[in-house]
Formats: sequence, structure tokens, C-alpha cells
Amino acid sequence: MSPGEAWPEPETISTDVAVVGSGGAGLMCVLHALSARPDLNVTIVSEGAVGRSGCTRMVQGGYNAVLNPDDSVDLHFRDTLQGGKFLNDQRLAWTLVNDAPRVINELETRVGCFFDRDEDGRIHQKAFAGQAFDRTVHRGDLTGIEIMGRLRDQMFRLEPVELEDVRALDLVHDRVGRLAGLTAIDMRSGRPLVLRARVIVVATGGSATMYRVAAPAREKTGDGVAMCWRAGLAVRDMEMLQFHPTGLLAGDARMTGAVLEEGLRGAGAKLFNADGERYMARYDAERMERSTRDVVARAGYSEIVAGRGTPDGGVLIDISHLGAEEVERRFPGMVQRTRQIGQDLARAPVRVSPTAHFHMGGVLIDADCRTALDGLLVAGEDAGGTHGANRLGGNGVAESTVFGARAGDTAAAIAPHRPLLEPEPAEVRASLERAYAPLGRDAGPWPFPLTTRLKELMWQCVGVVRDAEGLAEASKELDVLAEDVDRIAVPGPPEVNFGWQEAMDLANQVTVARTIAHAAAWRTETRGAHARSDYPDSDSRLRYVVQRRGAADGPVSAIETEVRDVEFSYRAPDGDST
Amino acid sequence: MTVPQFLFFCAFSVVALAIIAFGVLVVRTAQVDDGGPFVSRALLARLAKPGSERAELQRWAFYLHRISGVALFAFLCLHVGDVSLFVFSRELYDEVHQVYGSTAMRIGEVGLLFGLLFHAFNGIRLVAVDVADLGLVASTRALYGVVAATVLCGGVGTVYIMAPVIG
Amino acid sequence: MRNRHRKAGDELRVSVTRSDAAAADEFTVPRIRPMMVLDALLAIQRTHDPAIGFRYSCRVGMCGTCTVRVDGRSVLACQTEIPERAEHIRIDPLAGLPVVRDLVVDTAPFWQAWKSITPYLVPDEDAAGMDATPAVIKPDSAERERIDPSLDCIGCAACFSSCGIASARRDFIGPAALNRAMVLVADSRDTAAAHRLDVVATDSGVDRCHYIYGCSAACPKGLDPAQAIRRLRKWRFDESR
Repeated sequence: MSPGEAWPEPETISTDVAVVGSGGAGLMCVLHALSARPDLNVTIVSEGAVGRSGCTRMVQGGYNAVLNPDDSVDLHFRDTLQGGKFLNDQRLAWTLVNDAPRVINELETRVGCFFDRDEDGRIHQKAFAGQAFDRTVHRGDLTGIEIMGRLRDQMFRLEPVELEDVRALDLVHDRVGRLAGLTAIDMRSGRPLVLRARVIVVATGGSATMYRVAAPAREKTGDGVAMCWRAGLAVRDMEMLQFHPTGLLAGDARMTGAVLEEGLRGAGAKLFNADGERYMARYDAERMERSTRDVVARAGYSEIVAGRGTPDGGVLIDISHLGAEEVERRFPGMVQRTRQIGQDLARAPVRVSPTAHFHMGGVLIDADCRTALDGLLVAGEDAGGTHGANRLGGNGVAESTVFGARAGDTAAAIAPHRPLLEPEPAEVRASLERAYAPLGRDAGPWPFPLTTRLKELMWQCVGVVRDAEGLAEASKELDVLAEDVDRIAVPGPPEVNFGWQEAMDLANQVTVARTIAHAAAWRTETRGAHARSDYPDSDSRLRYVVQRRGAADGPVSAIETEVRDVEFSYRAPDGDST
Repeated sequence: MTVPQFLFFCAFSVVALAIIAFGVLVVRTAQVDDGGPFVSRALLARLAKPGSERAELQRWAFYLHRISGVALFAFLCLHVGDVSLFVFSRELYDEVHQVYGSTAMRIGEVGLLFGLLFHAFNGIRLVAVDVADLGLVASTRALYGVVAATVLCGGVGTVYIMAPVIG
Repeated sequence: MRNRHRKAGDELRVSVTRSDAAAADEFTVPRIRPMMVLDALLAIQRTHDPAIGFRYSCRVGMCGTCTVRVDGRSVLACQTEIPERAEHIRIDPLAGLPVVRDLVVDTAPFWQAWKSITPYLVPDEDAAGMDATPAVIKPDSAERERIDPSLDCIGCAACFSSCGIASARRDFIGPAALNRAMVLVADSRDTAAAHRLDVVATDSGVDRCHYIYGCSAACPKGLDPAQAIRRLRKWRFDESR
């Protein structure tokens, strides 16, 4: 390919609402937008297979919602804030707990999900860590398949335009800076697209795959946040990256990092170090294994670092005391998963390690998913603030569906009033130039070793426990990495080239990684998922940092920051906030 | 060999070739559409394992059922032709039917017998699968029965068919 | 065997069917333990050919996108362990679906069939929505005993590939879609059972099943679509169900 003609003329598609991402948030958004306004033209832009990529699909444990009359929304709200160490955006958390039961109703009665029942025929709710009431709705231990499978089925009823294997690149503005659409690449044909849209919903999911041991699906490379970042939107809580305490260890196999669900600990699983000590007693004697994820993950990490881990760098989770049959009945998916890698959860302890799981940080939104850019909505893991410093197990799928639904309602309400604008050609060209560059280069590094470098760096320096020295090094290394990513060359054709995909993923990952390292260096305290060995205590004053892309061009842009105090619009910390 | 005998033998050969061609077609399209395993050591290793792995045999039963069905039909057409020669001339009929007594034809007949037996027994198995909802494991076991019955009855039949030319 | 002189178990030869006849189709990758087929594909991508086409997402058997044929058998690449003693495996794209590139197939015909049975719940409109109450159904009811073991389909198309009849070149609805139809017909919350039974009774429906059991043997989630097809065949004639 010669420079200047590195890509074919982009095809232009116009739509009312473009939904980027086809996980729980994306499809709930489509459901609500098309239910509210069936006349809308809604287009799903999905990097992977529609409804079968992203992480809602991978939800095991379940979905927190207040259904029992003995439970209350206030109690769920309190649990969510306490779990989030009161760093939460309380409007978002309040929206979450209030809408969750209604979304469960909708999933059951409209979407066609069927969650496990109690003996009396009502929805069964199981125990999850960090909660004062058993409120986790589930379908066995593979809840996500039921939710996403049924949402996917709804797409056959609603018939939105599905752009499958189409990767969104950048938000583009019109001549005067209003949101006009987005650029994309059809990964099957390798051809570029320009999607003009009245409203764009970004719901691509988080970026936790940038760690060596990580739980999420392949697609979760921070694409949405990076897109918004490049478009100049503000993000918050980027340092808050949750590690799930029990990720599988399977050597170099890709299975490594896959989560063993929280319900195990809810059901009484015990954690041991290599010396056979039930170490949680030293970290949270009261709640033991049922403590929140941040505490349990950090405890496991500390044991491993202190040399009390297994030879392959893990601790042991043991639920075999319930009896093999009982474990097989209640956690069939988890048992199968461990047998796959030559271990057996039903009969013996299984080696686990903390695994990068969920990004609490993300784009600033209001309760209706609106952002600072008119016409742009963000929902799900791409948005920040709902979970504060630590997400409760079971609140993740709740967030994606609740806010996905809200984004759909908002999109349906505003789309008819927003004009279809003309994207600025220079912006489109710049975006495509960046995307096609790795294919056009004759020489340069392949993306894979750079991905490995990023994962290792983030794990070592911006991992479960951080310090100033490591973060400074990470920041420096990430700048170098960003330059290297800018030189990547990928051989092969543009059609179905996942090496090329990885190059684009990596650029987004590094963009997000830089903000994580930067925010982590700013927060000189230990709070929730963000642990600093050099600042082990929590500050009494609750603040968060809002970051925005600075003026500089190129791969290494400046980061502008603004520090804000947390607003306690519903509830103030009650002394139990650490 | 007389001319009518030769022509009949040729017709029989054409039928045999048609059957083989159909068999090749079945296997070829299967490679595109069926997702069945290739004949390889990996397949043999799987079939050597007891349990649900052997359900794969039912795919081969399906191919064999199709091929034997076409074979029987094709032969039946030929056979209707040679029997109807009686209408024209009793001598011609006898002359042509002497061919059935030749060794080559007898070998063909043995093949037909096995095809017939397998097709019949497997057909009964399929009815049982449908009516009694046998399920994956039981239907595989029933297939062992079909194969055993086919081999047994076919063996006895082979002795009867081949005895005049061998013994 | 070319690599027989090497110590057995250090390396693995992988043959991959490529769309481009000129592209390399045999690779040697280092053996790791445990090692799934997906790990072998990733090793090829990482060290030999970054452009090799294959799909995957969740790598824990939940997304159903990494389905390929390994030595002819339709499986999830991420969930299929390479046998300890294997020296060579062969990987092909799924059968019965058009190949997009290398191991990536176009699953549209599979979803077309899925769509044809009205795969979504058709609830009573008065009992559906955010303010409706979920139905009270006991977990040990006859209905759930039928449905529960048949849920959890991940749409991986292993059954479609393994079925001797279903193919993009034929019009059989296929095991996965029929299994879904059975689940919905059995669901007391649904109101479109009669319509679905009409669809499955057509020429493309249950009567085209030839009892090969390829579907039930291939399903990575342990479902039994063959049994679902049997049931639909009965229910078609049995209004009482």
C-alpha cells in the first residue's frame, strides 16, 4: 500500500442511534431505545460477535437486586457505598440500586431470562461477599449466558442494524465540534466505515486485560474509554482497578486469570496459604473470606509476596468440605473449569491468584448516562463513579444492564431532536491514518511482545499493591511503550487480521494505562482497590481526580487533572468507610 | 459367456460402479457439511474409548445406511429388469440368470446381503430410537446389536451363497 | 513423523487449514501444560503468523465464538485440552458454514435458522415489563425439569457443524435452534408455542433429523438437542403436552 492511499474510500452509513458494544449495556440500550421508539434506526457496532463478546456473557455469580421485602434499597445502597469506600458518585449508585429490581423484572418477564428459584417458586437470592443481605439473583453459576443469550434473542425481535466484526475507532465531530459520528473498520473486509449518528452510546466495557493475570474477555481493551479520552472527555477514578481475589492459575495457558466465582466464598470456601494457614484471620477476622474483594485480593497478594504462596505464585481456595456432590451440584461450571486444567474444586484445594477484573474508573456521566459532549452517552464499565473504590460482586452486571437501559431511554428521548451532522473530513482522515498505519509499515515490532511488556509492567508496577517508585517507573515505561506502539508493523492482508486488531487494541490499552498510572500516583492513600505500600492509611478527606487529555499531539499526550471533593448527596460516611 | 450374459454382467458392473460413486459422493459432501471426523489415528483412538465417544459410530452408520439404501434400490431396478426378461423369453431369462451363479456375482451377492441386513436392522434401530427415545448411549449400544446381527446373519448367508462354488 | 527425533512432548505440530493456499499451514509450537487448542493457535499467531485467522473472546467456554474442528471434531478451542501424548493435531474451520478466512466462519446461516423459530419469549403483554412481577414457578415443576437441562446454549454452532444434515447448503433448522424451540414451547410464560410447533413441523424441521446424535455428542455444554428434537416430534401431535 502506498502512502496516501492506505485505505479504500470509506463507506458512509447514517443511523439515529449508534451503540458501540454488544454486551449487557449495549444490548439493553438497544432494547430500551427500540421499545421506546420503534421507528428509530439503531445500529450496533460490535468488535466481536453480537451478544457473544464482552464480559456480561462471562458473569458467573449473579446480579444484586432488592427483591425480598425484608431487604431494602437503602441497605443495598449502604452496602454499595461501604464496598466502594464512599468514593462512589452517589447519584449513580442510588440509580443502580433503585433500578436493579426493575431491570430484573424486565429481564424475567420481557427478555425471557429465567433465574434460579427458591422452593416456593420465587427468585432465589444467594449470598455474596460484602453484603448485609443475600440478594444475588443467579442462574446456576453461569448467569451471564442466560442474560446475554436472551438479550441476543431480543435482537431478533427488534431487528436493529448489526455491524458485526466492526471495530469503532474514534468519535468524530463536525466542523464546529459537535458530535457527528464515528469512524470504524469492518474487520472482515478490512474496509473503513464512517457512521453518522444523532446519538452515540459507548458501551464497550473496561480494560483489565492489560494485566498479566486478568479475567476479562479478549475485546476488553479499554476501547471505549480511549475513544472518549481522545475526544476530550473527562474520566474519573482511573486508579481504581479491581482485582478479583480468586483467579485460576493455569501456567502459560490462556485460561490463567479466569475467575472462580465469588459465590464460592459466599458458600463458605476457605482460603489457605502454602503453609496451610487460613490467613484471612489476619486481615479481616470478622468477615474472613466473605470480606470485600479489595481486602481479600490484597490479603492473597500479600501472602504471595511474603513467600507464603504456592510455587506458581498462588494461594489455595478450598470448598471441598461441603462434599464433592454438593459442590458439583451448586457450582458445576466452576468444577468443570478447574478440571479442565487438571485440578478439582469439588475434591481438593485449587490454586488461585488475584486477577485483574474490573475497572471502576471511567468516563464522567450523569444518572441518565449523558456526558459533557452533547449526543454522547456512556454506559456500563466505560463509565466511572458508580462503584467508587471497589465494586461489590453482583453489582457489575447490575450496572451494565441498569445503565444500558437508561442509556437506551435517554437515546430514544434525545435522538429525534438532534440533527444528523457532517463529520469533518480531516478528523476522519486522521483517525483512519492512525488505524491503517501498522498495516502500511514495512518494518517495526509485532504487537504481541509489546502486549506482553504492557501486561508485565502493569502487573509489577501498577498492580494490587503500588508505591511511588514503581508508579514513576511505570509512567516512564508507558511513555516509551506508547512510542513503540506507534511503530508497530503488522504483516498480512487487511481482511480478518487479528494481529492488526491487537495493534489497535494495544494503542487503546496504553492510552488507558497511562491514565491509570497517573491517577494511581496522585492518590497518596490506600482506599479500596487502590493500595499503596508507601501510604497504607486512608485519608479522612474524600477526593477524586478527574483527568482530561492535554493539548499535546502524538502518542504521548499530556494529562490535565482536576481534583474534586466527593459529594455525599445521599449518605455520609458512617465511620466504617475503610 | 453369451452376449446377453455379457450385457447383463456389464449392467451389473454399472450398478456396482454407481453405488461406489454414490459412496464417494456421500463421504465428499460429508467433509464439507457434516463435521464428522476424518479417518485418522485420532478417530480410532476416540472409538477405542468406551462411553459417549463411540456415539461417533452413528455418523458412520448414517453414511452406511444411505449407501446401502441406494445400493439396494439400484440393484432392485436391475433385478426388476432381469426378471422381466421372462416376459420375452424363458430361455433368455435362464441364460441371464445363470450369471447369478458365477463366483464374481456371488461375491457381489454377499455384498448385497450385508447391505440388506444392515439396512434392515439399522432401520429397526432408527424406529426404536424414535419411538422409545433411546438417547445417545442406548442408541449407540443398539448399533452394536445391529452390527452383530448383520455379521452373524451375513456370515451364515455367505456360507450358503458361496458353498456351491467353494465346496 | 518428522519430529520423532525430538523428545516427545516438548513440541506440537499443528496443521491448520488456510484459505490462502500459499500461506503456511503447518507449524511447530512449544508444548505447555495444561495446553488448550486455543493456546496452540495463540502460539502460532504470536510466533509464526500474526495474520492467521481465528476467533475467540472469553476463553472460558461461555462466549461460544472459538469453535473449530480439531481432528475433525467440532469443539471449543478454549475448552479442548490437547492430549498429553499428542504430537500432531489438525485444525479445520467448522463444517456446514461458509469460511470467511482461515478458521473464521460466517455463522449467519446458523443464526438465520435460530431466528426462524422465533427464539425470543413472547410473553403476555400485560405481564411483561419493568413493573411486572416474575412468574412463580417451582424449580421441581415438570416444566423446569424439562427446560433447565436444556438452557445454557452458547450458540457456538458445534452441533450445527457436527450434524450430518444441517449445513448452509441445506435448509434443516438444525439442533441448536430446535433445542431453543423446545425450551420455549415448554415454557409456561410463553404464548407462541403453536406457531413454533408449526415451524418445526415444516420440511426444514424435526423430520429432517436422522438420529446421528452428532449434536448431543458435540455439545460443549452437555445439552441434548437430539432429545429436544424427539420431544418436539411428539408434541407436534400432542396438544395436551
